[in-house]
Amino acid sequence: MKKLLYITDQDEYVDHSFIAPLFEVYLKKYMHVDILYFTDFKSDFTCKDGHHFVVPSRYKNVLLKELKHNHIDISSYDFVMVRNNIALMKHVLKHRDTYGYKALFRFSFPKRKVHIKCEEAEGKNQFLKRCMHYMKTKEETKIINQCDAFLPTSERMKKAYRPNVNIPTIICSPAINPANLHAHQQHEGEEIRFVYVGTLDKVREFDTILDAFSSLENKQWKLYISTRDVAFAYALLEKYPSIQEKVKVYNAKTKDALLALIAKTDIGIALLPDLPIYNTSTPVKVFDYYASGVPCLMTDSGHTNILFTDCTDAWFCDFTQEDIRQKIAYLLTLSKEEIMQVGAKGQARLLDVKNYETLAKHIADQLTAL
Amino acid sequence: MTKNHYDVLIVGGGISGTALFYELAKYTSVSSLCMLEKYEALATLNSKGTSNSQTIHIGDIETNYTLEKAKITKRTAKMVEKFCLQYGLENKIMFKHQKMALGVGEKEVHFIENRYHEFKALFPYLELWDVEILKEREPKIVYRDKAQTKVRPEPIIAMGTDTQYTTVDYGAMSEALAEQAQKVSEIPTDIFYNTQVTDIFEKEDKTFEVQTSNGEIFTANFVVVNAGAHSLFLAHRMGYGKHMGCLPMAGSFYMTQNHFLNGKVYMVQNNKLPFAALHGDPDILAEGKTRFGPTALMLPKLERYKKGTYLDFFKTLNFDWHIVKIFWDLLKDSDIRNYVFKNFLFEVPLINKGLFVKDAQKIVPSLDVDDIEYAQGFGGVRPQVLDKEKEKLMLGEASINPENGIIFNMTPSPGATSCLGNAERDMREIVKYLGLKFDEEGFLSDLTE
Repeated sequence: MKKLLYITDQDEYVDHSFIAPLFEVYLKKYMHVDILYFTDFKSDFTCKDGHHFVVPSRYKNVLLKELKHNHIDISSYDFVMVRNNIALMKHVLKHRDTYGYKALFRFSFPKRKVHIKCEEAEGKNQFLKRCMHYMKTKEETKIINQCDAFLPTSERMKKAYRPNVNIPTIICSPAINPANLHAHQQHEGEEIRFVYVGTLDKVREFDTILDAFSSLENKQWKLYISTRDVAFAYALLEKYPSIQEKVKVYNAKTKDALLALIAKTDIGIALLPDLPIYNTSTPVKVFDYYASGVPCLMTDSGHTNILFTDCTDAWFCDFTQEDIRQKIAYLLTLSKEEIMQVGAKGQARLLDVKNYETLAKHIADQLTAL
Repeated sequence: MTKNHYDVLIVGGGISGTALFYELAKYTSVSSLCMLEKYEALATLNSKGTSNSQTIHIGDIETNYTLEKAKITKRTAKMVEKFCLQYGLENKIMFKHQKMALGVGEKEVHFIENRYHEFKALFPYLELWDVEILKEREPKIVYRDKAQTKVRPEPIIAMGTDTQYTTVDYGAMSEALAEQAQKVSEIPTDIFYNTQVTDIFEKEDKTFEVQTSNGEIFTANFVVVNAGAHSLFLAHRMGYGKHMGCLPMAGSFYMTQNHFLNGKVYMVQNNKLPFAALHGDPDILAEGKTRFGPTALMLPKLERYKKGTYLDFFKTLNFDWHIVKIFWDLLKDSDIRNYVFKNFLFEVPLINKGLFVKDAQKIVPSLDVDDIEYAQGFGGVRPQVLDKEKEKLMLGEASINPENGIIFNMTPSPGATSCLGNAERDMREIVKYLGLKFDEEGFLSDLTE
């Protein structure tokens, strides 16, 4: 079996929404996988169960040296994959010939671009940062092109953010975990319950969604929000006194808590502005909703409508207050049974075209062929 | 042999030296034992109660410890507790306080919650305290005003306990260790004060000659040097440990005039400089007062509040390009650079209090400059070791054992907590080397769980 070291920029306690099923379970059927996390808090290297390494972040610049000091045989790896961090990728590339592994770069999300967008949405002038971003992207592309393979979240993301990458590309998208699917459980409430899971900030323009909800005539609904940005959510809700009682804010800390919350609802929301940072890949929240059999109201982007069909296994609308309002008004006319059937079809569809089991095989085949 | 010949000779009468002195005297068949102390009494430097935070570092609230490290420190910390209980020293030199590790802000809160679950099996007594519980237990860390009407805006959470022994006056414990060693043993157990070791030589007959500043010469079959930063100084003079340098980090404290905290409050530590983590502790030597600190200032001397040792610092630093590289790597990190600069300013009169208060407000948001005073005469030096081969700053203890009858120990934090554990390691080495008998059963029964 080939051996892969996956170096992630996430911390050791990350709620492993992506890592857990793909790297911890399904990819392990095809290769030995060790996962390396960084810690901002602990002082010493830790090896947990022989396959999980936790390295103090101060050793990022000398990572391979630190692994060697801790008796990790780097030459035993056939592949070393770095998630998002270009400085680390550079470090790994520098030692590629010494240890003889293939270097892989995983591009999960254009974080810098999102940051610039957020600052722009707050009215800050981002001209200099945009220039820097342009220069850095050019430089980063050069480094990525020295790797043996590039693993973006989607083909569209690659085209939008790393168009000049010219090495073999292996798509590594979020998917549904076939081992962790649940049929939708009906709640006893009269109302239709909507749920939104994820980040809230100015770029996501959640106020457009709240505007739509507050303009509904039918009041038989509730909205659950689970976000880390609880303060932002409450501040936003203060502008909507008429619906405040219908909206509940949570901060589900673990994947299990999140899925438990979703399971109590009827329809998931994945409505996002039509920006490349959002429409180049399917948001992870969509997979979380369908894992619990909860169908999703999502933005009609070039990405989502390849996966789903409107009114069959999902619902689409444009990201405008009126379009969202009309769609929600329509959803409030559906019976819970009808909603549940859409959820079940969506889950089956994802299982068919986007599940971690087949994705892992595809990735393993592609890596072996490098 | 001369009258000054001993089976085992220990250099340094701090907590590490006295712990070994005690274990050898009580649990082995060593024929004679001696300890040489540079000053007029035991534990006048870093082991002294005013020089350190008096904490038993068991590993439950020390957020930079890994689970593996905590398993080790738990055992050694329990040895300190068992020693004190064995001689009825609880509530005399060892105390129970409430203690907690406090997470402030989303990232730290997430870390504390997860760390709590990871460490709960090892420390079953730990509890997770949210804001409502903290309002009862430690209100000053919850509110941002002195009237305690406004809760601080950022999320906080703590993991802690109030059932454990947390605090020891390590200076007093050093004296207790030496006293008990001399009481329990019928062999010569001599302590020489005002006796500074200047050089150690290995003789042809494999024994060691220890030369002192007052001209007296001692010989021994085995020598252990537990002399803080001077351990490395003496090792270098013998040609050992050349791959190491010593970076003395001085720590200062600030003291409140009134009761401020009900127990120990530790912050989530920065893995880059964990020895520099700020905490608040009720002071057992200054009743009713709370001590905040320590700061972390690189000081070009090996002993705080004592004359000289500047030259010894430069010798022990063992300066070369590897040291330059270590400093370069440290200082190119903006977090560390800013930290070093800020801690330098913490020592500058007039501006120091204002700057320090800003940091300490992470623990007590309502703290202001009028609440604290620079704790004159408090604080010690932590001899942090620089590993020139690995080109990095080592965090924690280091030992040089060339396996020829001599050992050199550098024991910065958590060295005091580990004193009996480190002594056990050295005692086992001595027993093996000199072919002594060891009452293992008695040792394990007395000092371990």
